[in-house]
Amino acid sequence: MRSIKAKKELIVAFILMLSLVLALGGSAIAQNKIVYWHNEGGNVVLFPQMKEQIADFEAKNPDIKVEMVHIGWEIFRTKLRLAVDAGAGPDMAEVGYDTPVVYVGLGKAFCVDDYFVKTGLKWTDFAGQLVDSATIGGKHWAMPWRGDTRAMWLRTDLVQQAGLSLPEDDTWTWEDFKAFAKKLSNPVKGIYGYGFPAALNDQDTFCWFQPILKAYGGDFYDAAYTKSLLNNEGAVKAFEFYASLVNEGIAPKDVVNWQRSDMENMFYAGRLAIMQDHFGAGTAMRTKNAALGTKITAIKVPRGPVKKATFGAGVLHLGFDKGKAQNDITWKLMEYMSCNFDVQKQYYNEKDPATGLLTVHREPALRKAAVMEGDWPYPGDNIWYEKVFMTESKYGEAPPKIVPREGFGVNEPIAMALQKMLIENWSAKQAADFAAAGYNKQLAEAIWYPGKK
Amino acid sequence: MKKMTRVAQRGNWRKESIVPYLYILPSLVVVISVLILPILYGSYLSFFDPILGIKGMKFIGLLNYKKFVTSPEFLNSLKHSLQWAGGAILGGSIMSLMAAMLMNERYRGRNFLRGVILIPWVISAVTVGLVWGWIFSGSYGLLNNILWRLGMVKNIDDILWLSNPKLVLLICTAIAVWRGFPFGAIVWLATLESIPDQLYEAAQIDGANRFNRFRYVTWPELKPAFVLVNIVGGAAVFNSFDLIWVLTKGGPLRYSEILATHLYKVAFWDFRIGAAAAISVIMFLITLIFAVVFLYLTHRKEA
Repeated sequence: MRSIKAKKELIVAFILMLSLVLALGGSAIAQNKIVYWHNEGGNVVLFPQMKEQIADFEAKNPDIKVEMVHIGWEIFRTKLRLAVDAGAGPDMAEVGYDTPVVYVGLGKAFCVDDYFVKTGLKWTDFAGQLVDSATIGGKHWAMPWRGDTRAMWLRTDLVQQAGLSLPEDDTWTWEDFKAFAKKLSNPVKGIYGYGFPAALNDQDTFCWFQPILKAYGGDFYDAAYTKSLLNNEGAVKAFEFYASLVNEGIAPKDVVNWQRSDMENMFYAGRLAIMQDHFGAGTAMRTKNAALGTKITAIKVPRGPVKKATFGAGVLHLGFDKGKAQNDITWKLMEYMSCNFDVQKQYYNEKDPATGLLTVHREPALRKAAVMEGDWPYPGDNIWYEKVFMTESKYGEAPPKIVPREGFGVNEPIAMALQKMLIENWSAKQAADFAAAGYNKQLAEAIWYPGKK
Repeated sequence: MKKMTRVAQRGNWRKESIVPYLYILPSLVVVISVLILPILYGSYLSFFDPILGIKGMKFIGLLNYKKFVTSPEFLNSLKHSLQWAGGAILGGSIMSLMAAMLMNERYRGRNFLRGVILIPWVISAVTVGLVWGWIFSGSYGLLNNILWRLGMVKNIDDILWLSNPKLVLLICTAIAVWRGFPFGAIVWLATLESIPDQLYEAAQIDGANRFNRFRYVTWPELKPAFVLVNIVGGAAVFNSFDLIWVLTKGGPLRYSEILATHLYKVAFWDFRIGAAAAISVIMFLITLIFAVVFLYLTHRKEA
């Protein structure tokens, strides 16, 4: 009896050992790993798509395991910088338009040109402003993933209530916009024609100001990066215009404390008639509230006296230099996510199974993947990709390329200047001089910018 | 009885001396590695100019202290931190003492009230900041909505609580008092409950009114707790970061910037680690003053 029992125990132990060895051995098959940091964990539409894509990638590359790590956008920039400095950074990260230059300047990213040339694609196949963000020193350092430009989102119900019709957005100027927004404002009821973030934050305040700045002829630096142009004549007019939106009751005074989410909340609640935001903002609102879908529409950003400018943004995939062997593996995922038509198309053509109508709109960076299919249920949206993203994206301009400034640093002088106008009643000239001084200081302290000797 | 040899005595002495330290060794290791070493390394970094991501550190002596610790932004933040801590100490003391006295009385529902009073303290600072931030929002806050509906303001955003430079720090301090007073209330309450009833009865017999009973019976007993609540509580508020960060991030225009938020921006927005280390050294020294005062007052009483 005892020997039978002992034999049974031995058999069980052997089976357990074998299972353990097989499990370890199984995991040893996936010897190559890509640690991929992203911000989309809270994105109810995109994140499931990403997980499907990663699963498909792993199925096609059984020797590679991808570890997806979600980091919230608010803390992403800081965490990435700390991790990379500590040698614990990811192999690949989803980054904003202004980030590649930082890690190239710090010598942490790898160049993708030698890899890209083998794909058979051209850089002109991608949205222009993303390629611009990825281009540093004449070489390409990141892969465009999702493009973006800005639209003016409109509450059509508030426009109707005010007895107005939609503006002619092919030709309208910022002054036309201001006059239109003023008619929509009703401060007694707490309804404003327009609103924008003006608080200290990652980059939002700067993002919203940039189109107006450039439309009036201002800029951050001159082409050679010798000085800031934030106090040239055009920039002063841009600061003046911005302050007048608040002073004339078109935008609330509380914008000095607004983050982007405050602006979106006000728009969502019907207290803000127009907001400038990327296209995904409208999609996100419609996803949360289907009834809202019929009350909002996208129209084009106005032009200024000097030119039409919008804010070029979007996200790219940046690969961190971990040696050629790892870079080769990391590139495979970068190529899969960005250069694959079928994968890129997933961002765009998502149809409501009940109606067959396009419901969710993403912004693929690969132009060829942005094929217009299906019916458009919301007025104005059908102009988006063909006429706006594809054509107007060329007006999208990236922020200054200067290291170590990104995000907060780019934002701070602008936000402080705006707040000084709105809280301490500084003149536009004073505010512009203040912002220019901040940018000149950053230039003096920069460790890298295009052309730095 | 055999007398122990000197060698044996020494051996015994060594064993008795070492054993307690062995017991505390694990905790000591944790305290040294998590507290002491970072303080020392941070102090060391304050004499260099490291920028995150860039190899090599340049020794710059006291330049970080001269440039950053005497900058207008630092002095502004220091002023606000002292106002913030001072306001929290004053407001917190009064509110917590009143709450403790209320909780000390005997009436129906006292236990329920004791539980309710603790709620602000058990909620995380982030949650407190988010909720009060929503209540005080100038654009869509609950408070402005109520005032507007009652006809007390003409426009719904007439009062910009957290965007008003004159009000923002005051409101942040009030929220900090609301959150922190339960801690003081518990300490006061424990002390109040230790005061024998006979003292009050004797005072009453002697004709002492309510105020005199507080002055001559209650307050002398509460003084030790006063030190604990205000000095320890004040130091905690002085160093706190989360509440103001969630509410205003130090804005608008740095009108609610305290040392902790300024430090965060220098370290993690500007990535100037050396400068941030210098600021943290100053904060540490100020907190040390709180601790020295606390120790002096408590030891003086014992002496």
